[in-house]
Amino acid sequence: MHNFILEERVFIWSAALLYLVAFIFGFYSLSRSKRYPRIILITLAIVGFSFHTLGLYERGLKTNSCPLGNPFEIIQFITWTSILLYLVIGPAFRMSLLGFFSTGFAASLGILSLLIAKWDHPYQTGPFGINPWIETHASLALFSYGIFATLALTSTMYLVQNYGLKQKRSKGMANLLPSILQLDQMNKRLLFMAVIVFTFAISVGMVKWIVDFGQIQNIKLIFTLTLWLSYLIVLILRIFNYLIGIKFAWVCVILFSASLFTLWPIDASRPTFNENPSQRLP
Amino acid sequence: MQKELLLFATTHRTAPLEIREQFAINSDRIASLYTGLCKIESLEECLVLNTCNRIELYLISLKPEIKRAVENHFCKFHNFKIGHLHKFSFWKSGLDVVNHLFEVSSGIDSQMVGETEIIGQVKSSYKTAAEIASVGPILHRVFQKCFQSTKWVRNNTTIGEGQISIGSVAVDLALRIFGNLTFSRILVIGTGEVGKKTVKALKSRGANSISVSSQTFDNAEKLANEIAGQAIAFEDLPTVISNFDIIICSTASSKIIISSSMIKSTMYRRPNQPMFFIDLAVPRDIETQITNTPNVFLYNLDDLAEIANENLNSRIGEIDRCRQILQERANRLWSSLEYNGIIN
Repeated sequence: MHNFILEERVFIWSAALLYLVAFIFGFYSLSRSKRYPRIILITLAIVGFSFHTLGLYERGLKTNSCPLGNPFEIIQFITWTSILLYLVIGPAFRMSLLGFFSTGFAASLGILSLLIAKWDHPYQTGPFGINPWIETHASLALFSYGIFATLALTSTMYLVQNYGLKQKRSKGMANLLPSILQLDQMNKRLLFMAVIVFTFAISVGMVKWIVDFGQIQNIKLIFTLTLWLSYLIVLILRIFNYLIGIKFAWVCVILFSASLFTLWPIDASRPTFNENPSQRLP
Repeated sequence: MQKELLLFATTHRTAPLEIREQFAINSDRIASLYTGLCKIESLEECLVLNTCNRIELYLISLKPEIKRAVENHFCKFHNFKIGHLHKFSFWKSGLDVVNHLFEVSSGIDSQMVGETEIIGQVKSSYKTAAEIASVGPILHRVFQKCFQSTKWVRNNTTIGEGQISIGSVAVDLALRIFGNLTFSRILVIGTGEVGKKTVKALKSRGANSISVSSQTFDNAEKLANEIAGQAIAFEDLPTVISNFDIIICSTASSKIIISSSMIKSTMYRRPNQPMFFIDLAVPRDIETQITNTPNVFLYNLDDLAEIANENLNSRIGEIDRCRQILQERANRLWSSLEYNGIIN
C-alpha cells in the first residue's frame, strides 16, 4: 500500500484531477454565478502543484535525471511550469482568470498524456543522467516551453477579451479578464523571458553539440533551432511594432501549438530502451 | 365639437439608430417644425418632444384626418420617403397617449430604463411649446398631471435605484481596455450633457488628463474650466487626436467628425496603444468603419444602453408596479377630461 501511494503516476493523476476540479469549478462559477472563485482556485492549484512536484520528483529519482525523456514527461514538465508561472504571475500581476485557463490547460494535456500509455515509453538515460550540462539544457528548454504555454494562454485571454469588446459583449468571463493593455504587456514580457531562457538553453546545448558532434540528432537540432528562430523573429517584430494586437496573439497561440508537435520528431530521434521508466530503480 | 388627443412618434423601440439620426432635429430647426405643424388645418394644439431616442408629436385635433397631413409635413421636413415612415413610427390616440406620456416621462419607456434625464427633456419641450403658444388647455393639463405622476412614481417606487448610467458602463468598458484610468488621456468633443456626465464618471475612477474640444471654442473653454481640463481648438483635432486614449463625442453636428481614414493614420502613429471611442451623438459623429482598425473600440449610444439594460433585470418587477400605478393615474385624468366633455 505504501509503495502504491509513492508511485509517481498516482501523484501526477492526483494533480491532474485537482486541476480538472479547479477548472470545472471555475467554469461552473463563471457560467452560473458570474463570479470568479479566486481563493478556491488558487488553493486547488497549490495542492495540485504539490502533488505534481512530488510526482515529477519521484520520477526523477527513478530515472536518475531530470524526467524529460519521453512525451509524457515532457508534457508533465510543461504543464508543471505553466502552473508554477500562474502561481507566480497570477497574484503578482493580478492576472484574473489565468488560473482558470492554466488549470484547464494542465488538466487537459496532463490527463491526455496519462491516458496514452505509449507516450510514457522507456528510454535510454544515456547522457541525460551523466552530463549535468545536458540536464541543464533540457530542463531550461522545457521551462521555456512552459513559459511559451503561459504566453499562449495569456494570448488566448487577449483574443477572448478583444473579441468581447469588438462584438460588444459584456456578459460572461469578458468582464473578469484582465484589460487588453495589461494582457498585451504581459504577453510581451512573457515572450521576452521565454526567448531569453530558450536562448540560454540552446547555448548550453550547443556547447555539448560542438564537443560531441555525433551525439545530437539532426532532426532535433533542426526543429529546435527553427522554433527558437521563429520565437526570436516574433519578439523582434513585436519590439518594433510590426506584429501587434490580435495578430501577435494568434501567432503566439499557433507557434506554441506547433511547438508541441515538434516534440514527436524530437522524441522519435531518441534511442529507446526496453524498460518502463516508472518501474526503473535508481 | 369634441377634440381628439393624438400621438405620432418614432422612438428607439421602432427605429434603429441609423433611422433615428435621420430624424434628429437640432434646437435651431425645432421652430420651423412647429411653424409647419401650426399651419395644419384643424390642429388645435401641438407639442414636440425631441430627444436623441425619440421624436414625439402630441397633438390635439378636431379631425382625425390630420394624420396624413402630419406625416407629410414630417417627411418633407426630414426629406424622408413617406412609404418607409410607417415601418419606423406609430400613432396612438386617447387614453393610450396619456399612458404613453406617463411611461415616457417616468423613464419606463427609456432606452436605459429608469433614467431621470427624460423628465427634464419633457419639461424643456413643454416649456418651448408654451413659449410659442402651441399648447392649449388640454395639453397643459395632460403635461402638468404627467409631471405630478412622474414625481410620485420617483418618490414612491425604487425605479430609479441602483441606476446604471451611460457613464458607469463607459467606465467599465474603459477598464476592460486600459485596466487603470490614471494615465489615460481623455478628449471630449462637444459639450453635451451626456458627454459631460461620462467624463465625470471617468474622472471618479482616476482619470485626470482631460481635454475638451468644441466647434465653438468658448464652449470648450467653459466646459474645460468646469471639469478642470484643457480646451483644444476644433481645427487641431486631426493632428492631436493621436495623443488621446479615450475619445467621447457628443456634438450636435450633422456631419461625421471622426472618419475612418483619420483613425487609420492615427493608429499608424500609435499602433500598439488601444483607442476607445464613445459616440453619444445622434446623428453619430464617428464613422462606424473605424472598428475595422485593430486596437480601436467604438461604442455608440445604443451599445451602451443595451449593456446597461442587461444589468437591469432586477428592476423588471418594479417596472410592472410603476406601469400599474401610472395607468391608474392616466385613467383618472382621462375620465375627468371625458366627464367635462372636452375630449373624445
